[in-house]
Amino acid sequence: MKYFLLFFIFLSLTIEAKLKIEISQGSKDLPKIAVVPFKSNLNEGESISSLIQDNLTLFGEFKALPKEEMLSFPSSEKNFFNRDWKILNVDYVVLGSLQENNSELIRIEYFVFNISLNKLILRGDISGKYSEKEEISKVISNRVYKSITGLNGVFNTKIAYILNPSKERYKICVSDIDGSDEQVLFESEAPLMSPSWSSDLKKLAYVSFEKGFPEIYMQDLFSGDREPIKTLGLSNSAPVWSPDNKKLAFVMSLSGNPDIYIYNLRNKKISRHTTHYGIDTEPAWSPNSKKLLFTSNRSGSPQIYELTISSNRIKRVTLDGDYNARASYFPDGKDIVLVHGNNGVFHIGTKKLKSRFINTISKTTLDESPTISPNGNIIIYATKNNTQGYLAGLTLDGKSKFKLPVKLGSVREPAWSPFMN
Amino acid sequence: MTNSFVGFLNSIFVHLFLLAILTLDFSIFVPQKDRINTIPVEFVTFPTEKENNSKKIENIKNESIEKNIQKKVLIEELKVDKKKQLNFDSKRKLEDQIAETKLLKERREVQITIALIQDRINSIWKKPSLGNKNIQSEFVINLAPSGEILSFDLISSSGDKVFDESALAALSSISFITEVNGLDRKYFERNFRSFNLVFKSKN
Repeated sequence: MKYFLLFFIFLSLTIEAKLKIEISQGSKDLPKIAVVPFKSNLNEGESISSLIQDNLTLFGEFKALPKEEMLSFPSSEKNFFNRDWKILNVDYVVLGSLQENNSELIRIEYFVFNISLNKLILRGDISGKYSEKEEISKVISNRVYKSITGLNGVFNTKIAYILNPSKERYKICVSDIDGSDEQVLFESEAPLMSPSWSSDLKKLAYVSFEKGFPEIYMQDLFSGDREPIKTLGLSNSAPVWSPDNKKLAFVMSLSGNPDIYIYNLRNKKISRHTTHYGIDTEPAWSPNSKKLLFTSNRSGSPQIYELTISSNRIKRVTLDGDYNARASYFPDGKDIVLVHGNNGVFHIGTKKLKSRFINTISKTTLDESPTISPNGNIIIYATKNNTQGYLAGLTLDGKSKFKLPVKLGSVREPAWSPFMN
Repeated sequence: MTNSFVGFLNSIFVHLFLLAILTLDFSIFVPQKDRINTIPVEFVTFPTEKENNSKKIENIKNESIEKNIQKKVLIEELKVDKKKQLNFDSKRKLEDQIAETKLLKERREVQITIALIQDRINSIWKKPSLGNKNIQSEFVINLAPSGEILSFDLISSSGDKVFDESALAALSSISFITEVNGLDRKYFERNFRSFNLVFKSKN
């Protein structure tokens, strides 16, 4: 009996005995990346590599090593020496070379090395026209980013926003994510609101007050054709395109009470999905287009709810805090990002749908509407500096914050496009 | 999984312990020489009425004298036993206290070393951008008493190559965990000779 007992004590102790140390924070330093000027016989290589470097450091996720500090300028695997970079505490090196076949066509070969593992992690090549060097460098940046982080790069995605250059002047604009190539879709003296991308990136839906009341328009990005959604309600707002591109969720109030409706783009029929006397607004689609998140004050304070479209079943998602709004799903559909407020303090936060806890990332003011990158790693929001609105962002790990290039005028309501296919 | 298994074992242990309290003679844990001598019980039968009164009185007298003597002996024996018991108790208490302070000291030292190691590894680990992924990878680390890393192995992968590699890169960038240097050798052997390091994407 005695030994039996001792045996069990021993057994239970040995299982717990091994020490386990948890590491979860990681270094505060950003990964250091060196983009070596690309070798070329026409001196154009450097312009491509500097474009790649600008892309990679756009969201402050990497720290670039200045060219002046580099000890060598390799252009291929053969003349690359790991120790040259280890000395400089560099984590990743991007190098490559550019060959001109004729005056227009170029071919770029590039390599990515992981210095601490002393390993080539990517080798690739791409051909194209020199005049398209910006597009080419975005494609290379995406591939480099993927090889380093495992996430899809977002450097060739676009962003839509409302620009307010002066009082009573509103523009709806689309630009590349780095702020370049800005395109004005529509201009009006009446307010414009809530841009939303179609998943094929061909159309944009938004709210316009041009007729004196809020009305939803769908506009083709290439032809510029505009088409309103004909509804019975006098107040329509917050259109959101479903990821499967078949529906448009929006908010309409028939008798002064806003509810969530869905517009079927195929048969042009409208269906009502909430009937509560509280305000239901800010719909956001789940990645599989089967559920919607929305904000409702049905419990007395703004909280997030999840609606299953097929059954109209509604489940409350947020329980903590006296203000939870502007929610949207992460690309995996398991987590959400939202603006979380408690006692007048507001944060951008993330939450697992299945757990109660809200993880706050960054303190904000109330008037910010976060939009999440299609790879789920970066959040961009509109914020204000005195009266000038601009776009700022942060990475989800909270390590870096950045500002996007300032525009001529106040910028509001950013909407990040889906991935280009 | 491990936790529930440990919980299960612990519940078995608790039940066995309760059973043991009810059934076991705990003197087995006391050294032979310190055991309390058991007092034999005697049943005294009174003589029947037929017997002579004088004999009765004599007998009673004798018995009472004997009893008195027996009692005295018993009391003395008991006194000695009690003393022994007291000595033994205080000794045990003292031993327990010493063991407890030793354990506390070890625990404290180990906790401090763990915190130092966490700080060190956190400072060199460049956690990759992961979006909202919630993953972890576990390594087993074998150390020499000097703190030299003898080996490290990935025992449970996160499933994300980049994440595993970032942890690998952090571990391969150091060759010593000098934080264990000041530790008592015993503590080192018990805790840090071989331990697990879990890299987590989220706190």
